[in-house]
Amino acid sequence: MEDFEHIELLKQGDERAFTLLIDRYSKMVFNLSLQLLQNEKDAEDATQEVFTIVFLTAKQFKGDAKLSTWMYRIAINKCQEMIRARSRKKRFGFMTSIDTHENSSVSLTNFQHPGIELENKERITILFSAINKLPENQRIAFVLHKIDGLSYDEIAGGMETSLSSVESLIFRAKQNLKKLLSDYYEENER
Amino acid sequence: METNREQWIEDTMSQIDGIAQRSISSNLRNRLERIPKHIDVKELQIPLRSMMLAAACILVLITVNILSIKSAQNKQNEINETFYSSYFSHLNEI
Repeated sequence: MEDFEHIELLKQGDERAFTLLIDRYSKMVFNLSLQLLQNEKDAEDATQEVFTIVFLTAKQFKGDAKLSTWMYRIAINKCQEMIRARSRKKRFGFMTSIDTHENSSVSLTNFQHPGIELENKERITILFSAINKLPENQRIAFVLHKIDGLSYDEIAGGMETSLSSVESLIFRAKQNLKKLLSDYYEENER
Repeated sequence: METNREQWIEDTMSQIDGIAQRSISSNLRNRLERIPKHIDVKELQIPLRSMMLAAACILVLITVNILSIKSAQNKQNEINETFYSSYFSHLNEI
């Protein structure tokens, strides 16, 4: 089914169109949320919320973007919202230090990515810890491109920014990651 | 040593290519299918009478404010005039 046809059926409230939407995009939304939120339960909650928003606002979708871009946009916004809520919670947490994110060195994350083979877990943990240190926009663009395999165009649509900004964000993310990993190597591996 | 470091960084960065996309669990699938597709959003209609009343109240408030500012200004002018006239009449007497 073509995008425009699918959108029309969604607007009419066709049950099959909603099921097709779940078939087509649930895996994408879940994996995107999983990479960004790094918590399986939160990723499932985010996926459910994204689809709730999509179902409730389908009638208002103007069709000015591809259906996938619209889904990415909603998913990214939802994840950003959850990340911000989480960091606000941390900041006001009774026992949490306020300078956790300002610290430049890589502290290992507890996140065990479910899509990784056991022998690579250690390296991936280090990598994800470094990714977590990146500024929010760089982190999102990098994760969407490198892990979710989205094109620059799709990322630009999802993040509501220009193609050149996405290129720049990913370039800076790679540079910063190399620097963070280099520091980690200096401290731990040498 | 430098080569070791660069190699280590390259190897770590390349780990990202090995991350597989996960399928969603049946539990999540059920949750997604149970989301209500249609929710009737009732529009909240504010009666015209209430809106007119609110507009009238705002208008009255603005008018009262303007009038009180004007009367305060007039009062100040009167005080100044009385003060100057009494001062000059006093000077004339001298």
